[in-house]
Amino acid sequence: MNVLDIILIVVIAAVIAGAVFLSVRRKKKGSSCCGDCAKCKKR
Amino acid sequence: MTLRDIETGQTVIIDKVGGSGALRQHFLDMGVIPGAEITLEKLAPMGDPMELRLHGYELTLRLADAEQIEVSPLPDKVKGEVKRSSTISDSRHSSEHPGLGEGGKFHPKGSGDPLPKGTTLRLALVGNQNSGKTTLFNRLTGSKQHVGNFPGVTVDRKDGAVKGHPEAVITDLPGIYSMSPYSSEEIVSRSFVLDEKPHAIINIVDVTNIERNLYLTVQLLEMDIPMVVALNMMDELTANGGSIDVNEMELMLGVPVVPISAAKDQGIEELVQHVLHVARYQERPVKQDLCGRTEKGGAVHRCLHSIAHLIEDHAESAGLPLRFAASKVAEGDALITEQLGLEQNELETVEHIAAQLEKERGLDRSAAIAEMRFSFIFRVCSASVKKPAESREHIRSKRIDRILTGKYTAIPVFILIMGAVSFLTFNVIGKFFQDLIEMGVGWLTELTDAALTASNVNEVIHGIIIGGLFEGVGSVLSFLPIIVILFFFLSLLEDSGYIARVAFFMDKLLRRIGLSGRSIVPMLIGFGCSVPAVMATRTMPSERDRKMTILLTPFMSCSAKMPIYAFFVDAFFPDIGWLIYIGLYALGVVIGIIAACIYKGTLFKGEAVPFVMELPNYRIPGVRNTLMLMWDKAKDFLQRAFSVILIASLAVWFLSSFDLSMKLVDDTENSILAAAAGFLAPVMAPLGLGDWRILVSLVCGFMAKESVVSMLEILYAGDAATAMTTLAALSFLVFSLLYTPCVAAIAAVKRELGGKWAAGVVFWQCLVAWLAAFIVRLVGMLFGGV
Repeated sequence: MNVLDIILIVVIAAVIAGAVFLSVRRKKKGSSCCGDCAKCKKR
Repeated sequence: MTLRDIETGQTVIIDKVGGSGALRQHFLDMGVIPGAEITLEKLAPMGDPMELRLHGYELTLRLADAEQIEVSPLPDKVKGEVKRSSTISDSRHSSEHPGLGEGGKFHPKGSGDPLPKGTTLRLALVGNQNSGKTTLFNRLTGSKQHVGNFPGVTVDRKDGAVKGHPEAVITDLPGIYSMSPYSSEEIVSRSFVLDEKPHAIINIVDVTNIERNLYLTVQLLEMDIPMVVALNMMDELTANGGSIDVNEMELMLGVPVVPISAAKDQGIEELVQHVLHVARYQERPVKQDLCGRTEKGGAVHRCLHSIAHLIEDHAESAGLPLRFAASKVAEGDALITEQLGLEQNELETVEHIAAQLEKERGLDRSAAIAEMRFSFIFRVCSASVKKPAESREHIRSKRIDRILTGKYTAIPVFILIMGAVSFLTFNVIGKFFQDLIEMGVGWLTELTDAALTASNVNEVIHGIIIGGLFEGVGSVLSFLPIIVILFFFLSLLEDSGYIARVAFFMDKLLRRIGLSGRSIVPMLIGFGCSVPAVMATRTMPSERDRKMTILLTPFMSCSAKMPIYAFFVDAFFPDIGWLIYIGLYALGVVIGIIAACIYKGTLFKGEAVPFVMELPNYRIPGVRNTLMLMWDKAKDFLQRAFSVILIASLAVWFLSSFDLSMKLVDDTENSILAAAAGFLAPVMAPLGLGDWRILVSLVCGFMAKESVVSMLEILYAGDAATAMTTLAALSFLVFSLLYTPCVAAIAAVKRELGGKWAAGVVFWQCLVAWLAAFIVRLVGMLFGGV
């Protein structure tokens, strides 16, 4: 394994971490109003 | 005579509003009250529903509902008279400025009893549907919420800090016509005002339709919450020769009144100053009796005051504003009556008081109270509003409607518009940009591949980058232009006000399958994305219609399926691509209609609720709004590509490149994925799709539809087109069109209907898809396909 391989592994790991972060954030942002303001805990 | 019997162009006076329950209350709240003048503008192309004009706006009503409204011809002496609200002479600026909501006028500067420093001011934006709330919200907060030109774009509350005033948070609420909630998103607004008790309300009023808009204002005054009235679209009114004596109106309403134009960013700063002031100093509306003591014998006045005395203690302990509670109890609002917890004696007393009101007024209680409110509004309008004869926007709308909702032109034009949208999206504009991106991605992939080979990079790392990242994400990126262009056209249709017209003339057709015209709005949105489509059903007043529409939304082919169609069309049907696109969309609609007929006879027996909807004037779509929507959709698509699709691509590449002993395989047939998916593959064999790789791509499509193409590219190493027969490809397209919506759409269904319905949708859609694809295959085989 040469230096370039190691650099590429780091880059791929960073891309995957970014993708996971984006997915989680998307999921959180997706949560929306249930219409029941009185009982809602998300506010 | 009933409203059903009148001729086109005839104006009559309403004598009696029949019917019962929430719908009748809705009629009254929309201004369909005894004594009001109403004109039949036209009938929908199929003869039903009818378009009516009253209080200066257009309303749709079905013939069956119109039958419940008794009318009489306009007396000759009234004909040609100037309307009540137009009698003001041009006496602009003649009244003294009351200065409500201003320091130094209402109370000495620096005095008063402000809320403690550091208190976050909670403001609510309340107004009728399509009055420009979201446009104002965007101006106030600097945010970029989507706006449209049909009633009920906002179905959710949205919060944002006021620009330049971080201590004030404003909530944009779905539009409501009154404080008697009719549909579920109206309940969101009413609950917010009642339960969350905002520090102040901005009541946005569309001045081009002022009488009906002020009906909500009058009810909000009863809430006894600090309030500012924002007169929106003033630019339109003045441009048409109308005017408003703002000082007079402020004096009569007892709350600050600020003229604005949200679209043109005029008057916003003054509005913010006023609302912050009334919120900080808790300056409530000036106490006044809306029900005149001597008006029409004073029956409503005595009724409301008697009930107010009777329920005072209950209202206080329930935390409800007394005046509001009294009028709701008098109207017979079951929710408020229950909340007050009245004793039997008190309930009986209320009944006696209301019965006396009905006897004295000769009207039922709801109609009498609605009539009292409108009387007050007419007094305010006749003293302060100079209406233009007919606005340019309305004249323009009528001209356009001659074609777009004309008897013989409406449906052909609709088909033409939809055809043009799909042709331009898939064949002209979208295709051009798609080819461009495809070329770019292909060039970059080749370049990277060559560089990695030349640098002698490790085989696995090389595979991850080219086979996982580039083939996975790269293959879906090229579909970005098609999706953005489709949303561009949908946004144009929505912003112009055309979608509301489609609901109008499609009502009769949709009723045959048990739906109302309002269902067309979520369904058209469903061609873009199922998630907002499911959310948009909140504007529907009936739970039955809402559920049924949600269940039908997955049959409308969403834009995320486009990459699948485009991929197969390019590979198998390059010469008849447009036919395949239109065929798939039409098939979705036809199977949706069949499903609706099944639902109508089984799950949702009965009739769709009445179709009462406001028809807005046509407007030229805002460039900023359209661009913002396109950017939002592009951002959303790119985020999906670089998050869910990227992870799925890498996971599938890994599972298809290694065997159970974690060794790199030469043939994907020996991979982990092949072993796992091989068990289920026989289920798809009758469709000609027995290959485990197809099954895997479809399963990945549940995460995001766009990823189906990525998975096929990865699993077939870029050679998917040669691995299938033409008939199998057709069967695959039909299956993809109809099988379960993506996880985001299912989550939306779960949020709206619950887990059981969501699971039911997944199973039902898969079953329908399997059956339809099987039939397509059988028919294809009959004609000699393989």
